[in-house]
Amino acid sequence: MTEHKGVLIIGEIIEENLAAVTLELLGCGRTLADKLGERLSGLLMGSDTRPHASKAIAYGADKIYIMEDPLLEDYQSDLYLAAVEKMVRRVMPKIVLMGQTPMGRDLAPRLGFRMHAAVLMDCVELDIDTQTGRLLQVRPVYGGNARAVFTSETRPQMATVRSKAMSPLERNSSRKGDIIEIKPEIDPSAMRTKLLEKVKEEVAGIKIEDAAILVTGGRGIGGPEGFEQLEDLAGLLKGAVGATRPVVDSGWCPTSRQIGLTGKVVAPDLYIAVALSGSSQHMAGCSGAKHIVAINSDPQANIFREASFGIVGDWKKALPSFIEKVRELLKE
Amino acid sequence: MELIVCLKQILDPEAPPDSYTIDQEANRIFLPPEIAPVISTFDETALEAALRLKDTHGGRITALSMGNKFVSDVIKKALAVGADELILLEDVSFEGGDAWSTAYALAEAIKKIGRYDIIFCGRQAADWDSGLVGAGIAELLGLPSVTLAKKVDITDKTVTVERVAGDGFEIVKVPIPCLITVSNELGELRLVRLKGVRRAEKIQPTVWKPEDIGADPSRIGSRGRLTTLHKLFKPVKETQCEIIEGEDVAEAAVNLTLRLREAKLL
Amino acid sequence: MYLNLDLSESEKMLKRTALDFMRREAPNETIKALLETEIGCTDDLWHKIVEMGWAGIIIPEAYQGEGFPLTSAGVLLEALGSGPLPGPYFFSAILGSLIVMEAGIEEQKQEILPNLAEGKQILTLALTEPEYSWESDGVRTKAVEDNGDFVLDGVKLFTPEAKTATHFIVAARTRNNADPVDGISLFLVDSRSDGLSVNRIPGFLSGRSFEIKLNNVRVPGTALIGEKDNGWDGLQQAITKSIPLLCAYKVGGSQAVVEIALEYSRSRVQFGRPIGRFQRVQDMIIEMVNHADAARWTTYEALWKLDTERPAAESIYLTKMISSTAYWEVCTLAHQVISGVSYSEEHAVSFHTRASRYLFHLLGDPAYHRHKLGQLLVPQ
Repeated sequence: MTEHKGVLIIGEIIEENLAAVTLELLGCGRTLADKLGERLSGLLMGSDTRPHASKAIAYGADKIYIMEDPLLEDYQSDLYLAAVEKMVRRVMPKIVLMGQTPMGRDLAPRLGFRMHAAVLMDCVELDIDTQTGRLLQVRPVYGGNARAVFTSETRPQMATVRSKAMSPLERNSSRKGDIIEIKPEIDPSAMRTKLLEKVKEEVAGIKIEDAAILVTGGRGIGGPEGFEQLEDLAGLLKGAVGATRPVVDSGWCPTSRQIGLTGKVVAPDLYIAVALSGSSQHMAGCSGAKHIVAINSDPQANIFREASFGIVGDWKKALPSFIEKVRELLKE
Repeated sequence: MELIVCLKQILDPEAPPDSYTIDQEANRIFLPPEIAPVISTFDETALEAALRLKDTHGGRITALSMGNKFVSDVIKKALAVGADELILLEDVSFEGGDAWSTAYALAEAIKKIGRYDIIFCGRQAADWDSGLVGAGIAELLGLPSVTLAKKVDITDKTVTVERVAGDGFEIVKVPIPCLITVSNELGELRLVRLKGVRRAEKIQPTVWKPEDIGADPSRIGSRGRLTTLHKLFKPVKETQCEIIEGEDVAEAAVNLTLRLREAKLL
Repeated sequence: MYLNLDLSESEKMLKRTALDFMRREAPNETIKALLETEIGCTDDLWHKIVEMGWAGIIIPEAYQGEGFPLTSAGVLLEALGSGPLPGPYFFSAILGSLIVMEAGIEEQKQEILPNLAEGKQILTLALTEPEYSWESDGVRTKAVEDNGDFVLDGVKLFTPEAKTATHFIVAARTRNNADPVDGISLFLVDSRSDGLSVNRIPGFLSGRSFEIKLNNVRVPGTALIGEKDNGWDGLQQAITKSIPLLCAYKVGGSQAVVEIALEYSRSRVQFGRPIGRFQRVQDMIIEMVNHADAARWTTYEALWKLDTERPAAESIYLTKMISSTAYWEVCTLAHQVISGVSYSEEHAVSFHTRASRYLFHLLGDPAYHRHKLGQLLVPQ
């Protein structure tokens, strides 16, 4: 049996840039590889990957494999699955990491089952057990009400990593590494599931995952009209507006604004939670916020257990004077 | 059209966080007995996806669930909202598994059911939140799959799926037979009407034991696991919320801005 | 082991669905908004209730209803009471259906009951008058026969949900007799009839009660429900059967309030510990649980007796006394446990307080039912 060695991350290029979560994977992968005393490699797929490969090396990789093919431009599940499987079988790493992204959620489970190797999804901490050398994988369960520490009984040990749970390294352009091109040898006939079109739901202003200040509304806002007030406040604070799952499911806000276990993960400096109860499923997406401020009429709402500051009362009465006073303070 | 929907009965994830207790010895989570289990919400959404296809194109829905100690008035909801058959893989030996043993048992049961055009699963179970079993069934049965569907339609033998992705969605085509995992954006499962309550009174679930599906005993339940759970714990929360008061809510809001300014957050 | 207070599989499913319905369609903000309206229920919400089949829950299948036993309807009303969901549901689907079933002739059942089940007609009972009474001697409104029609004249005070109802069941006197029971007839009156005016009675605790003025309102002879002069017995039968279902609604309300107060007493920390650990607060919580449980078991006992055709009158009087008092007291105690915020109009406890005060009197207050129970136990 061949020996498994090293850490392999599967990177993503989004809008001509290495995805933020890929940089985080490189940071975390570097730490794990150093603990093992082994090498960190990465895989990038797409059409023009070389510049990204150098960047990935600057962020911690020893070796980047690139697979270039126009068909790999967008995520196509069958093609990516075949390509990544080929790569993993060739590299034989001890550990394979992906981001908990739309791609990772689709690809990692299938890869795991295809290779008969366990995958643990949405990990928030990864470490090497100093005694056994195994990968300790920590993931939230029960909607964030509990955490679990797992190990895999199979090799490679695979995990997807929650975005913003790990920190990237400082960029170091003097780092050296190898870029190796691999022929993907794509068989288009293997493509059963076919991506036809990507539809963007444009959100004006700052993206929620990038905003330093977020104003998020919950079911208690009562309808799409209420979100206009949240927009006003967010505009004033140069922040963005987020939403909970019930809000998105009711169609008051586009999916791209959803924060939580099944939406996006954010970590702003200030998180203003308006008329949302703070369910565990929602908090899974915003518990990285530095400060949470809650406005809710139910004093028992869970959000008050997570917030640093709060007002108990009807948001419709609180928000106008809050906005007015903020406007006044910002003028000073 | 033959549709199969996989459902999992779980502890209610909407139960208040304080009500969860962890048995450190057994690494298991408990809720007080008065909080009834539920069908995992994402699986309910998967069932809704199947019902919508049945509404427009006709067909038959088989609901399939694996577990032990099913609560009949919970799991029979599938029949009450319109599933035609309910098959329960119910046995103590199915307990204690992970995604690998679960996907194996469900895939074996689906082989026994035999006929299917689309298999629906929730995007993830709302207890362990992994999102592995759907992909696992597809891989074990050699089917193409689409994950995170928010809309599903079928023309001829091709299924068109809108798949939730980042800042929007993708439109994906997949031939039948296939497996689709469904995301919450598709919408909540319809409510049980009184006629549905009557329907569930008339249809009894079929129970299959491991031997009925020809399962390899070493691949089901805890014996079939590929992962080891070492520790289960509650994350510690340290925040203490400072409630800002005022004569009325409006004044409290003004005081809040001042407090935030003082804390250098504004 | 014969005593079994557990719900059946179907009832548990119904209960869960009804609570889901409340969560989706009638969260606190919706209830607050509905409480401020004259109608108490939007067309959209009523349509959803009808779609669930609930408008026909106790109407037999032969009349296009769902044919469920009263206990199942109790389970439903309990869930609706947890809101508390305002509107015409109880008055039309329960009390209205029962009046037609108990007092109507076969043709009327065939005509009206399917309309009720499909939600096309919404009924309410116009019984009480300025001389407030739930007894037959309170009925002074007159109905005079004229060319095969009837002409109604009088004032009906405290008619519930009159702005939502499409039809009123009006109890009127068609004959004066020494025995007040004799000479009362029931009429199905279209709410848009000429000569009819509907005005809301103001008041924080008055629910949605209306004054209906009947100023020579002409209705056709077919509007007479059942036999002329002989309407009272059927009406009484219907009211009696409906009472445990109204009580089930109060049970749901009481239970919801107990849960709110209990959760508050566990999470609100004062002097370094949750307030529920203080004996004074604990005593109040225990008293609340006591009330809510007493209401629950008397209610379901009465429903069980009705469904199994046992004599139920004693249990019905008893549960109306107990449930009305329980709901009232539970709300009062909850305000004491939670204080401050619970008095605000947005707080769910305040919705219940308003409902508990209004429902205390509806279909007879505890003193009235105590008197009825006394008469039954020790006949004159």
